[in-house]
Order: sequence, then C-alpha cells, then structure tokens
Amino acid sequence: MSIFFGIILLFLSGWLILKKLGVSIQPIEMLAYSLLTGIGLQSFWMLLCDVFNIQFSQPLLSVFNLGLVVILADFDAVKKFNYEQWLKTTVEKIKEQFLRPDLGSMLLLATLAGLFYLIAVKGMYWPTSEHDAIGTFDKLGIWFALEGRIHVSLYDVGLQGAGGIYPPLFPSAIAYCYLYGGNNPKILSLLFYIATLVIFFFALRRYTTLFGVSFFTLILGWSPEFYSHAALLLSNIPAAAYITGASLSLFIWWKEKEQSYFTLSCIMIALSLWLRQDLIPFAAAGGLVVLWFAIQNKEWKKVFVYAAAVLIPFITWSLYVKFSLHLSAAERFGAGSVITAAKLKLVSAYLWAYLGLGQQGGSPPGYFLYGVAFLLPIVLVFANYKHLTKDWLMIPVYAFVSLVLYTLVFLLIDENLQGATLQSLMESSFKRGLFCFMPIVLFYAAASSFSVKMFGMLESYRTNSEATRDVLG
Amino acid sequence: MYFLSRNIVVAILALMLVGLLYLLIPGYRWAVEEIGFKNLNLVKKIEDKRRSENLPPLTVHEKRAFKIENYYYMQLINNSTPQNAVILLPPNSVTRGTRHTFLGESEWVAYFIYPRLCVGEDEKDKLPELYKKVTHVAIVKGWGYEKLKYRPIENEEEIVLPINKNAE
Repeated sequence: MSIFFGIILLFLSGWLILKKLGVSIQPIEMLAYSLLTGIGLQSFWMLLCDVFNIQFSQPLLSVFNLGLVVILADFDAVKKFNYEQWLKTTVEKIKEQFLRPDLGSMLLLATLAGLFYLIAVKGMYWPTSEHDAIGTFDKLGIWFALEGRIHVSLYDVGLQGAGGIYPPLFPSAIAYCYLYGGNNPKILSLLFYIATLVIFFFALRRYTTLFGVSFFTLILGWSPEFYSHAALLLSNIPAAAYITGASLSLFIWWKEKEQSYFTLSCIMIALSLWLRQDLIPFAAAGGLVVLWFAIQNKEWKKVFVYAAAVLIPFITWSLYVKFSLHLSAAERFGAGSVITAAKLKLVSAYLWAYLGLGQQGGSPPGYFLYGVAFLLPIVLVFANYKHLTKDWLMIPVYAFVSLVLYTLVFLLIDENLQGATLQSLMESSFKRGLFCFMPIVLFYAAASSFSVKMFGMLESYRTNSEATRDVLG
Repeated sequence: MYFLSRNIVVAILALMLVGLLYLLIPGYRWAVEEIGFKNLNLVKKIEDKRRSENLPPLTVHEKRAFKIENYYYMQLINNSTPQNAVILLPPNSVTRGTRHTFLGESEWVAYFIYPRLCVGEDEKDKLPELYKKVTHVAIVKGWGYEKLKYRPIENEEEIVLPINKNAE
C-alpha cells in the first residue's frame, strides 16, 4: 500500500506546484505533467538533504511532500468545489461516449490498452536484468535508499558505474520507489511510458480529431523499440517523457501564446537536464525557438526565463559533481574528434536503417525498429508540401537543430577515449536517443494541414456532419 | 444523430490499419509476439506450474536466476564471503564468450553482492586502492588460483576462496 501512497504524493505535490505556477490545462494532461514534476521534486528533496548532510528516508520525504501540500493547497477552493456538479457532468460525458461511441477511436485505443497490458506484465513480473540498469541506475537507486544520501559510498570506491556522472533524477526516482516499499522500480518505466503517450495525446487533441489522435498515439506507443523499453529500467523512456513535455508544450505555446505551456516547457526542459545532461541539443533547439519568438515579439523576458531553466540544473549538477562527488566527466573528445567521410557514411547508413529502409550492423532490412514513426511523417510532409512554410514552421527547425547537434556529438566522439566504436554507439545510445524525436515528428505530421484535413473528412463522414466539413474547409 | 453504420465502417478502417501494420511490418509483429505474448505465456506457464504444485510465489532471486545466466555465481560469492569482503573478479579475457560475460565488470557485480565490494583484474590500474584491499578471489574456468597466497587442497573450476589461508 505504501507505494500507492508514495505515487499519490508524487501526483499531488507535482499538481500543486504546477497550479502555483499558474498552469491551467486539461485534468488528465495535468496529471501526466504532475507526475513528471513530482518525480523531479523528489530528487530535489534528496539533494537538499544531501547538501545539509541529513539522511533522507520515507518518513522525511513524506513530511516534506505533505508540508508542501499543506503550504500550496488552496483549501478554500477544495471546500467550495461543487463535487455534485462535477460528478454529474462527468457521468453525462461518459454516458454520451457510451451512447454514441466513436467505434474507430475506441478500437485504436483498446489496441493500445492491450499492448500496455502485455508490456506491464513483462515489466512488473521480472526484476531488473538490463546491463546498464544493474551497472548504474538501479544500483544507485538501491544505494541512495539504503544510505539515505546521493553521495553514496559507491562513489568513494569508484563503483558508481558509467551513468554515475548523470544527474540524480532517475536513480532518485528509483530510490523513492524502494523507500516507499515498491519491490519493482520498473513501475516507473511504465509510468513514464504512459505519461509520454498522455502528453502526446492531449497536445495533439487540440488540433485533430479523436480518430486522428488515437491513430498517431498508437503509432507512437507501438513503435517496437520504444515499446520494448517500457519494460526495462533505463533512462531513455524517462528522457522521451520529459522531452515530449518540453517540446510539445513549446510548440503549443508558440501557436496559442498560452503562458501555461511556456511554463510547462521550461519545467520539463529543466527536469530533462536534471535527468541527462546529454539532452542539451533539445534545450539548444528550444532556446532557438524562444529567441525567434522574442525577436518577433520583443519579449526578452521569456529568453531569460528559458535560459535560467536550462542553466540552473546544468550548473547545479556540474558543481555537485566537482565539489561533492569529486568526479570529472569522462573524456570523450580528443585527437579522434574529427568528422570523416567514413563516419558520415556510417551514421547515414544507420539513420537509413532505423527508418526501416536499409541494412546496417544488427539492424535487418525492412525490420522497422521504429515502425512507421519516422517514415509516416516523411510521407505526410511531402503530401503537405503546399503548407510547409505556413504550418508549424518552428517544429522542423527545432527537430533539425536538435538532430544535427545530437548527431554531431556522436560524430565527434573519440572512439579511443570513449572505449567504444562509433558502430556500437550507433546501435545503443544513438538508437535509444531517437525515442525523443518520435513524438516531435509525429506531432508535426499529425498537426499538418494535410493530415488534419484527411482526418477531418473521415470525421465528417463518421458523423455525417456538414458543419464539421465546413469548419475544416 | 448517431450513425452506427458509418461508425462501423470507420471501425473496420481502424481494424484494417492495425492489421496492415501488424502483418506488413516485422517490427510491430515482434513487439506483439516476442515482447508481449511470448512473455505472457511464459509467465502463465510458470505461475500455473507453481500453483499446481502448491508452491509459494517466485522470489526475486528465483526470477533473477531465470534471466541472468550466472546468477548462481553471485549467490556463491554471497554465501562464501563475509559482508566486509573485497572480491577480485576475473579479467574479461577469461569471461568473454562464456556465461560469465559480465563477471569481470565490478560495476555490474557490485549490484548483487551488497555490502561486499569487488574489483576486476582488468581494473587494477583504475581502482588501485580497492585492488590492494582484496580479501577473496572469484575463481572461474580455473583462473584465480595464482592469486591465492596458499595452495588449496582441491582445484575446482568455479569457487570463491579467501586470498590468505587464515582468512574467513
């Protein structure tokens, strides 16, 4: 039971922080962002304890979280809330859905639910067995929980693992799970997976029909490599969740000028850098979008806020690594950091193979490791050629800049210093890093004029609605 | 107005889309069959057998033994050494290509042997302080006997022994 209490605390604390920051969005969407924020908050509590040399534990974290709830909760609003009216409206909405079901969307969402059940069984039945989780994330999480600090004894004897230099969000989340009696931290991977899909679903729901959203969410959730990782305890699924939140909310903010989404984007990008510092290409691309907006609208404050969101976690962790952990980042760039034709050829071949169109290394031709998650957007971009410069122009810019920077890091890695070949990196780190790009390109494809029109026509047919047809042109 | 027939047509379209993805793209099939159902059937088989034999639920150790080929060796380390032991692990040249692939990696082994510590033979330059504190040797494929400061009575292929004869 204790783990359920812990998870409720995550949602509650995250929810209240977002409310306090003025975020006002749909309740289910808010739940997904609250979870991500609540998880980030726990690592902040743990770091605070560590800095003040206090051993953290389940009771202490509960006191912190409940204290925050008491401080931030608007008890008057809770008292005044009309539960009867809310219940009545909700029941009516559900009744409406059941009386006039959108059968196509229901079928797609049921498929996704079935897939989730299968992966949840796999994740929750088996204990951690992935090499990197054992070598770093789960091990650090266990040690954090046992020793009640972030600077655990493993760091003093050099057994922290290769990922020990990463910021503490993910091992802190694992430690939180253990502290609250959870015996399988892979519940976190499932929560991050669901959060990614929920954020994607509700972001896209603003622009296309329920059938369209359900279809694209299924394409994202069923993407083979991404889907299989939902049952593993690696940091790539959390990275995808935070980057999905950071990027999609940035795009919505650009389009709608809703402050809530700018706030969310800042929080999510800060937490993504509190998870993995190598997600910096997305922060750079986001910074470019904010700068572009600032130049157009003369709103420079936004640039400073975004820059602070990027720099604070980055600098905080760098200082902690230097002065508390006494570690130096592994040397990755040296004499071998040159871009050669052979490297470019290899990277291009892997990109081509990941689209499902070629053979490279262990990626068989036509296997479609990412399903059609990259291929479908390419097709839809061509179909949408008439509107390319009008539709969501910032998304291709964001995707291009982040992909170039992301790829550049791999091209410049000195294989001797890294102790791994570029080929092996392309088949591990690079491959999993592509998770972050999937929601971005799928959102772009799904929200494009062509796609919206196609799904709009289908909706018009389904509802036999002249009105819908008129709105969609 | 609700148009059931039109909704059924859209649902058939959705079904066709899902079916096409499943049938035409090997990756989607792999996700459903290999990742999803193969595991579900395995779990069902294990649980059915357990219930039919009236056995308690599998422990984490038993499940790990299912997934990690040399997990028995981690338990051997735990059962053969005191909690303050520092274990010397074999080099990768000995473990490569065997069921002990990761046994030479102290970062990996440390996870299973808490609160014991460990250091790989390949890591003696990287972790010299820990290497000096070695109390036990993880012997695999006959490697490690040369590290002992005494001659054991029997030379077993896989065993964990103290580095000094009088140690625990």
